[in-house]
This record gives sequence, structure tokens and C-alpha cells, in this order.
Amino acid sequence: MDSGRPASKRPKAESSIDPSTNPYLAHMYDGSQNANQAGRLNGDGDGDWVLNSFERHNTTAEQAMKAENGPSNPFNGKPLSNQYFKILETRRNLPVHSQRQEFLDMFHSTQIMVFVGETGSGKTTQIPQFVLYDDLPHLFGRKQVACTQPRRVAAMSVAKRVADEMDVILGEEVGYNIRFEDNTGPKTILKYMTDGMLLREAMNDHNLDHYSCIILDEAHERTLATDILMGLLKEVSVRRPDLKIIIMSATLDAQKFQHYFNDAPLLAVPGRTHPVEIFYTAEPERDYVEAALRTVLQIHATEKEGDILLFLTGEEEIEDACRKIKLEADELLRETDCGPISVYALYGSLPPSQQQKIFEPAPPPRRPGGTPGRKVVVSTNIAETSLTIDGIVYVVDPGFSKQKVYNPRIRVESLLVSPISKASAQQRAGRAGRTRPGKCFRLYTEAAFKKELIEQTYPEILRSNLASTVLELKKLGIDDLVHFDFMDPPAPETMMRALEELNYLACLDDDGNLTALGKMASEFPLDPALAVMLISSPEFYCSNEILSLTALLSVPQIFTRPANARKRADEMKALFAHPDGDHLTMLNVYHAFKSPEAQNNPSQWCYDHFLSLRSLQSADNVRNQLARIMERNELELVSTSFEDKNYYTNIRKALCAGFFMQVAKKGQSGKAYVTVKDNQDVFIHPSTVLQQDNEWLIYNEFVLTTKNYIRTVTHVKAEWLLEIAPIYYDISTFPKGPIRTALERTIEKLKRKDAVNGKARRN
Amino acid sequence: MPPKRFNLSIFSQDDDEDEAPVPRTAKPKPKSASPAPPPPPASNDDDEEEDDYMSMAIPEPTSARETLTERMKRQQRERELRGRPKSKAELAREAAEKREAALAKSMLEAEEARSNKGLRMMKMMGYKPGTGLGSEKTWGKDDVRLEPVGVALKENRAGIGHATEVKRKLEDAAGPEGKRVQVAPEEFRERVKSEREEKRAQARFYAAQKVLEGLDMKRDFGVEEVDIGKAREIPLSSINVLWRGLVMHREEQERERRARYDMEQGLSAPRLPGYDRLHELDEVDKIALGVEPKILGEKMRSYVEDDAEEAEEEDEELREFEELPWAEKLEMIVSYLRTEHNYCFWCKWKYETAEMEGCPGTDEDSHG
Repeated sequence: MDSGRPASKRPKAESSIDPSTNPYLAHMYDGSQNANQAGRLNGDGDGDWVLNSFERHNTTAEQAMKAENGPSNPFNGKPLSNQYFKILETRRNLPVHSQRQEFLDMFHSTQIMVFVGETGSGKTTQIPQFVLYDDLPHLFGRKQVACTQPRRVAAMSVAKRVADEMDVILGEEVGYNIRFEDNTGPKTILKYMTDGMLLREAMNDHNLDHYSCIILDEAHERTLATDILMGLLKEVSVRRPDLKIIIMSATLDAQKFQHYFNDAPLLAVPGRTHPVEIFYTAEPERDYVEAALRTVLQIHATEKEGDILLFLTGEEEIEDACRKIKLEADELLRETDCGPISVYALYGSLPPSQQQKIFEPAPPPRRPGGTPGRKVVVSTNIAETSLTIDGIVYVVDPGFSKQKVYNPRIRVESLLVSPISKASAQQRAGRAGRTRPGKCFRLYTEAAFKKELIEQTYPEILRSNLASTVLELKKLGIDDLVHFDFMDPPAPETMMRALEELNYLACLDDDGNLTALGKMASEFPLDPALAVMLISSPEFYCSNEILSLTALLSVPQIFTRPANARKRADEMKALFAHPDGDHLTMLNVYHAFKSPEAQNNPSQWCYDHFLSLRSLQSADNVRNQLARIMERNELELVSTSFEDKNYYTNIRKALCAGFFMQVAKKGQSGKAYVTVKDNQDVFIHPSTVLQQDNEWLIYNEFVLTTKNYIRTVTHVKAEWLLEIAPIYYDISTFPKGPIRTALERTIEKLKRKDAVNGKARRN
Repeated sequence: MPPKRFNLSIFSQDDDEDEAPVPRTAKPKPKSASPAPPPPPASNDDDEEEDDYMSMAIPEPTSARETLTERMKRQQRERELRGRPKSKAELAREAAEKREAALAKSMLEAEEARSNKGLRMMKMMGYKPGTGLGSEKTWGKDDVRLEPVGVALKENRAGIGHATEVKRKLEDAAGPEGKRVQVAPEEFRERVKSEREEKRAQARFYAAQKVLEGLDMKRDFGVEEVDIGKAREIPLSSINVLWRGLVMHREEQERERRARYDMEQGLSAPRLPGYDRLHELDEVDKIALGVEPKILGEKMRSYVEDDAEEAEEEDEELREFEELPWAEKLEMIVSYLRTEHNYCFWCKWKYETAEMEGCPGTDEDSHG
């Protein structure tokens, strides 16, 4: 493979490449025999390799299967292991396998195709391999096949699985690339990656020239990045007729994809599903959680063998439900003849080892011949499409999930419990029919299903702040954002707000062109506000600290607060508290975590201090990745001496440089604050360490839970805001009111101070 | 397959009874918390003055202008509201109101939109206000997105469709205008006060009716002492409407008394201990006990029919009078006593002459 070509020439994901140094970028294939011959690279010159005899884009399933049968690995020539053949057997039993030839026929006939296969059909692991045997990316210009996943975990675990299936080492022929972690190498021909990563690569490689085939998996999830990629690929496909594109979806509403991609052909692999009987309640439920628990217990007491999947909305609700089901089921077990029960929680922030538990089989009967046991999985909508749990026969669906919402009018971004869509409800019901005919209990009436549920879940692009996306699109070379071919165009106000924010952050000039700062900010896989804060931090002599803080703000919550030890957890948090706010407190935690005392036994230290080791470790990792990007952009890592009284002040000022648009001023009465410009009454989230009232606060998030909350807040000063963001705090743009008055007073104060200082200087 | 209904029978004990409590603050209260003065009562009584029987407010006679006392009261109330620190719930409600208002308002139509740089950039890209984003080839003209997706905060754990159901039930119960308004303490105090005054006027009215009955009976029918037997001989329609209700009421009571008496007479049959609740007996048992259910049933029915007939030949004049507010009825009867009988209800005295010399005035207040 390494026939004289230095491995370092392989362009890395994030680096910007000079096309002239890359011998492959100018390479275009038109599929003709001529180009085929010219482009064929004979690997190590080993003419015996079976793939060398394949005619690109004209292979058959039979040929590929023969190659798969060995004896040596068609991709690296090594002998194949026993485990390989064992897995091969199960692979050949997957539903997609029987349609391999059909797939190849369509793949040959078209540039873009839509592939529909339900979860468990094997599409995510098999289709990319089918493509490899036909597209032979390594033999024709050293290209790659990319398969995108919406979730990091999925990209990692699928890559691992496929590496096993192909009997190669993960990171060599098969690798993965996710934000802050690139596990690919010079030999990589199949790359699983998050959709966001592919989008970032496209920013530096507008034609996606690294790839001969791009597979967008789980397109039905309609993540923000997948939506943008689809719009992008639609354009790239015109410029690069040799690029093959496969859109994969798990749900049958694929017509929308077909229509979008100019009536691309569709191949559907029927899933292995059994009929599911659907039940509705007679009356609407007053309390869906309580109704869900009752239903689960009723199923346990009266229905035949089979596991139960209950959908709830969030971690707390799920843990609580698990506890209650266990208690009630134990009671039932004592009183009646029903079997034992084991209950598992499943949600995103659960450590992977815990997540694995849901695959354990149901408990055995208490005594031989007794009623068999039952497994109950209480899950968020993770289990709706992305995860398949075998043995589920009963699904309980209260009809809610937590969904992200963003509204540009008040710039609030939150996870809110919302009714699911009809499509989601169908998907949930389908989970009951994986093993044998199942039942789905919907905790709402049929009339409510018809009248109150929307048809399709809103795609993420309609529920997100688009500041990052707009910056990415600009970097992708798309200037006319208004007419960009979005599959579901966002609201005009969302776009307007994103452009406005980027302008205030000086990432875009007044004409909408990317500035130098904007270009640099787009290099960072961060929200623009965070990126700008990081880039400006050397000016405040605290780029080391801001780098740590940015990393901490990019990972899940570092503080843990278990329900049974809230008080103790709060006491531990108070140890790190800084009187000026939560950001500084997080920084204190990080510094303590890096101390030799903590590093001696990090897991024990984190456990003792109610901190999440996983979050802190990943913050460490993120920090390293960001440091590398900073280095590349020649941003210095500096610190103010800790003894200097300005140590923390500098950090707070640097915070203002990124978050000056997220500021709240104390209101006239009580505990309420008012957000600057949007004029919303907000309250400080109870998790804050702030003890006393402060006039001005900078906040990381404005969320809605039971109230309007600002979360992760730090005390700042008005004069800093006026100085650091003079355009945003241009007094003439503020309407009359307390905020304007307060700013005016600050300006007066500054003027007086200046006058005094000036006088002093003159004297 | 056909969808089915299921009933959570086993674990549901309290499902059918107490229906879900109706959320107390279904609708934010209109204006009372804001310092802006409420609109004068008479200016827009069509919209504002919805009959809200749930709050038990008695509609006050609307005067065209706010009187001095009313204004003072209102200003006092406003000062109290301003001075009082707001409760957490109030703050949260205000925040929610402000949020909803901002969420409902398009940024494109706002005053600031003209100077918005984001909008300016979009216009440079060819955006026309009032249209959506995206490629015209992709979306059909009808489903262009012009508004951001709404933000709905779920405050309880009610299931899908429950809110609609509660709303429907509430509307069924209260009619389409049935709205709940949260009442401020001052309003509550005033309401209690007016209720008390109503009760007092009612008692006075009954007293005045009795006085008038005595006087009228004596003057018109020559009856010295009010006697039920004699009064009954007089046809109802010829009785002064001011106290006709009194006679009617008395008659009803009498009828009821007689009916009860008749029934008790009919029940002279022996009773077994524990079986004195007749309605629990079945036909056979009743016959066995000699209760004669058929006869009893007929008798009962005849009384019921009696009442029904009475109700049908309703007295239009009396109904109209009875529907007037107590205070007004009292005033009418008091002035009638004065003009017809030279009797002052407040002095409790029948004067000799129409000038009624010695009586301090026509209203209660002037009588101290």
C-alpha cells in the first residue's frame, strides 16, 4: 500500500491543503475504460489480489462474495481469522444481504440513490462494505468511502464492528473520525464519521475530493449537519459526476429524499418485522408517568412472556420510574404468581458500561417451570431508531420526548418535553415487532393521536440557532444563504438573527463577507461565541484559562448531583465555589482535577467530589485538540500570574469578549434579571454558586424549564461591556428604560474618571 | 390492524372519580397587576363585562362616569399594588407573559428591523420580506416557513390530549364564555361586602313585604289579622305584586306540609326493623309488607303533577318583579308604603297625613 508515497501526504481532516501538493485532487474520473486504466494503482504491485481483477462499477454480488470467502483478506492480503468466518456467516443472514445484487445494479445505474432499511437490517455495517467491493476506492486514486452517523458513539461502535467484520485493525483500513478524535490512518478506505465532521472537512475541501462515495446514514433523523450536507452534496454532485451518493434512512417516508435529490431511485429492504397491535386509552391521561407505570405493571401481571420498552423523556424521570417499577414489581411478586423483573434505564448521558446492561437477557423464573422473568427498559428516544434491543414485545408510549427548541425572537435554546410526531409514534410501535408479534400501548386516545400529533418531527434545522451553521456555510463558499437549497428552509428570522450575531462577533462584515476573525473562528469546532472568546483571550492574558473553560463548556455537565446525596454534592461543589460565578468555579474544579493529588487517583477523587470523571477527561481531550488548532493559528497560550489581583478579572473580561450578547441586568424587584436587548425576565438557575446579587451577569445559556432561567452565570461590569463590545452596547440603539439608564450612568462615570486621569496626566 | 382501546383496569382505583383539577390560572388575569388604570367601566361593557358566575361577582349597576369615591378607591388599590413586593409566583407569571408576548411578535415587523444588519445582509442576498428561504424548486409555494417553530412550555405531566379534554369539559360546563379570572384581594373584599349588602337588603325586603301585606289586607280586603285561611280565598292575581311572592311562598310551604302528612298517613303499614327505607324494597317485598306500592306511587305522582301545573301557569308579572335586585325591590316596596299607606318603613310608623311630618327622610341613612 505504501508504495513510495509518504504517509504524511494524506491530508488530515482539519488541515487546509494546498491542492498543488496533493496529487489526487485534480483527478477526475468519468468512468470510461481509459480513465479506469490510468487511474488504477496496482497497490503493492501484487497482481494476485483478487480485487485487482474487478472491473470498477461493474462487479457482481457473486464476485464480491467469492472475494469475501478468502482465503486471504482482499484488502490487506493477510490470512483471514476464524472469527472473520464466524461473523461472515451471520452477515450473510442479514436482510440486506439477499439484495446485494439489486443494490449493486442500482448503484451502477445512478449517481445518487436512496436506500431504506429498518434498524437491524444491517444497512449501516453492510452497505459501506458492498460499496468497497465495487467502488474499490483504494485502487482508484486512493479515495475513501465515508459513512456519516449523527452520533459520536454510533460512529465509534460501528467502525469497531466493521473493522472486526473485515478482519482489519480499527484505525487502519477502517477508521472513524469524530469531533476531537480522529482514528484514521494512511491506509483508511472506509471512514465512519459524524455528519458534523464531514461538514467540517468540506469547509476545506469544497468538492469533497477525498471521497469516491459518500453515504449519509440515518438521514431520517434530519440532524442539522445532515441537512446541510444534503444541500451541499446536491451542489457537489453537479461539479463531481464521479462522486456516488447514498442516502440511507430507517423510515419509509423516503419520498421526500427522492424528490429532493431530483427523483433519485429508491431501494428498500424490508425489515424483519412482525405485526404490532396498537392499543389506545379510552380517556386522556392526567399524569402520563403514572399511567406509564401502571401500564408496565399491568403488562407484567397479565401479558405473556416478552420484554417491555417504555419511552420517557429524561434522566431524572427515567431513574425515578425505574425505582418505582422495581418497588411495585417486588410487591407483585410477593402477592401474585408473576415472574421476576429486571429494570434498566437507558439515556444518552449514561456511561457506556451501564448502557450495555440493557442487552442482558431477562431474569430466569424464580423456580424451574415458574413464570418466566421479564426485562423492562425505560429509555429516552435513543431506543426509537438508533438502538435495537432484542426481545422487546411490548412498547409503552406516553407520546412525549425531550426536543431541542430554539426561538430567535428571544434567543432561547432549551430541551423541552414536547409531544412526539405521528412518525415517531409509528417508529416506537415498530420496536415491539422485532422478535415476534408485539403490542404497543399508547397512553393517549386515538382521537388525540390523529388530531394533536404533528406528522413529522421538526428537523433540527428548524429548532436550532444557526450561527454556527451560517459560519460553516460561508466557509463552504456559499454566499447566497437565502436561496440555499435547504430541504426544510428555516424561518427567515432565524437566519436574520444568526447573521446579526455573527456581525456583532465581527465574524462577518456589514456586507456579509467572512472576516479574518470569522475565518479563524470557523476553524474551531465550536459555537462562534466560544470561538471568538478563545481567539481574543490572549489579549486578556488568560488564553490558558479560557482554553480550559471553553473545553469545560463543550462537554456534558461536570458536576454530578445524585438524588440520594444532593446535600453532600452541594457541599462538595461549594469547596470549589468562586464568589464571582460559575465559570470561575468550573475553572477551579479543572485546576484541582489537574493537581497531583487528584491525578493520583482521578476516579476516586471525582467520586469523592461529586464530579464526572468522564466529562473532565473529555474536557482534557477537547482542550488538547483545541490547543493544537490554536497553535496552528498562532494563538499564544498565556496566563496572568495567579498572584496578580487581576487574574480572575482578566478571565471575566475575556468572557465578555465572546458572550457580550448574553448579558442580564438585575431587575427592579426581587430576584429577577432582565436580558439585555431582548428584555426578558429571567431567574438565575438554582445550581449557581453566586451568593449575593450582582448588577450585571454574563450567562452561558438561557433555558426554559419551569421558568425562564439563565444557567452558568458570572458577574461582570458594565464598563467592560461598553469597552469590549462598543457596537453592541451603542447607547443610541437602546430604548429608554432601566438598562439604558444604567449604561448612561456608567458612561458618565467613565468620562469623569477619564477627565480626572487626564488632568492628572497634564499636571 | 384495527386499533383497540384498552383500559388500565387493574391498577386504576381513582381513575373515574375526581376528574383532573382544572388548572387555576388557565388565563392570565387581564390587567389588574399592571399599574395602568383599568378602563372606565362603562366604556366597553360589551367585551369586558362577561358574566363570570364562577367568581360570584354580582354585576354592579354601571354608571357612566367614575364617581369620586370610586376613583379614590381605585387609586388606593393601585398604590397598594405598587408598594407591595411581588411574590415569586407573580414574578414568574409576569416573566411568562413577557416571554409569550415576545414570542408572538415577529422580528421582521418590529421597529428595530429596519436597522437590523442581519436583515440587511439577507436583502443583499435577494431576500424579499414576506417570503421564505430556500430554493423555489424544492418547496411548493404553500408550505414555505415564515415563522419560527413555537415554544411551548409543558408545566405538568398531563398526557397527550388531556388539556384539550379539560378545556372542552370546562367549556361545556361554563358555556363558551366561561372564563376564569383570578381575583385580587381588594376585589374579593369588595365582593364580600356587596354580598353582605345584598343579604341585608333581602332580609329588609321580606320584612317590608310582611308589613305591606298587613296594611294592604286591611285596606283592600278588610282583614284585620293576617290569616292564611282567609288569604287563600283571595285569587293570587288580584294581590299586589309587591307581596304576591310572599303569599305564593306560604302556599307552597303549606302544600308541602300537607303532602308530607298525607304520605305519612299512607305509610301506616307495619315496618320491619332495618327496612324503613322504602325505596330499597322491591315490589314483592312491598306488597308482602303491605306498603301498597301502587297506591302510594299514584299519590306521589299526583303531588308532583300539581306542582308541575303550578309552575306552568307561571305568573309573568311576578317573575319580572322577583328578578329585580333586592335593593331595588326594597326601594319599590318602601316608597309604595310611603305613598299608599303613609307608612315609613324606617321609622316603623304609620303617619296620619301624606306629609308624614316627623319622618327625617326617605332613605335608611337619614334615619341614623
